Amino acid sequence: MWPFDILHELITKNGLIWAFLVVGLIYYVSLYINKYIFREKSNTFTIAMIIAMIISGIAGLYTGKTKGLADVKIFAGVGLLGGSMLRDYAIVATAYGAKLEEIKRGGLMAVVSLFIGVVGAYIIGVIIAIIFGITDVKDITTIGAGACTFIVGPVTGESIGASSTAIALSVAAGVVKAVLAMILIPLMGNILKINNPQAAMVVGGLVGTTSGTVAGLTALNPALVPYGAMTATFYTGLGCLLCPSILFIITRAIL
Amino acid sequence: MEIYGLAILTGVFLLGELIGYSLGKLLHVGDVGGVGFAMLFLIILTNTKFWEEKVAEKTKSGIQFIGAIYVPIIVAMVLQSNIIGAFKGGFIAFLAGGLAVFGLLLLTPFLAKYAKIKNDGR
Repeated sequence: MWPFDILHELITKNGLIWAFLVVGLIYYVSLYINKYIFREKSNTFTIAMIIAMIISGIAGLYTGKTKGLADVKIFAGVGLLGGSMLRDYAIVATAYGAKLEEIKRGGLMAVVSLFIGVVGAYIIGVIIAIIFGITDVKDITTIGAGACTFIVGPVTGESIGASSTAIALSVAAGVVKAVLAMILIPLMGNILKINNPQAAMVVGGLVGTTSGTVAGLTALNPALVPYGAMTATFYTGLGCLLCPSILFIITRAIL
Repeated sequence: MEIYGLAILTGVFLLGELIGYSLGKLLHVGDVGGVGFAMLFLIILTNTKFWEEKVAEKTKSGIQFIGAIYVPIIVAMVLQSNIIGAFKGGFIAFLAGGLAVFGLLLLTPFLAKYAKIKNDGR
């Protein structure tokens, strides 16, 4: 049918601005779900995120690929809007309004939490891998690295020569971590007293996965995002540094 | 003009990434905190007296605009996350990734508390 053909062509051609409409609609629906179903006890962003996860999951099932809705041809623009270029640019912009004194106050603990975050996640990943009967040290290390972030895993795996199965597992572990961070940070935020810039900086260091930390903190309290994001962005680099080197050597020596 | 805000933001962004990638190259890894450095530069810049007194409101609103559309950008990011991959990884991936985030999050109050005590004593 010709009107649909034209629409299809227009949408594909204007992918990025079409993505504004898609996300805007999701947000609008979320606002109403929050208002009428949750009686404003939740928040719009959390609901939008859950809807986005469901849509992304359905899209992933449908396409069999890894980029959720962005792999569906007419929604490719979503990939541009949510891609790393605009995301990182916008994350930097959120730092506008952050207070330098707060950063200075939290700085030391942020660094400490970064190291605890990387080493802690690595140890947890290694223990799980051993429990599940993986015996190759390279594979164990790679899964430990995957528990850091989904970038640290494959980077480590490739540099030490782990099996492709282990690398795939490490990516999956990192993805699980990112998704769970989005859910757990807002859920546990009140209990863990994540209500000040210093706590947010610590969360960024402990959790590390930038997408998960940023999305989780946004749902909890957008004012905390710059503090958490700033520490989190150092995490992957630190992980890529420690996992294939010191941590691998120590693990090999122990096992 | 608003474009100045966007331009300044790109400036600090690229400067931060330049440092992040240079550091990464030095250490033979990818990017070490490029975005983090960029944020730090932006915070330092916007906390100066010069910024408060001399920079036009419209320039500032350019940066605030990008900061404001970051929420929909995050929704778009979630829209393209690999949810199926998270499930397909099975039990090992689920436990390794899940415990890593849950277990470490529990440490937050202790570390955050320490951050404050440490500073109050200064």
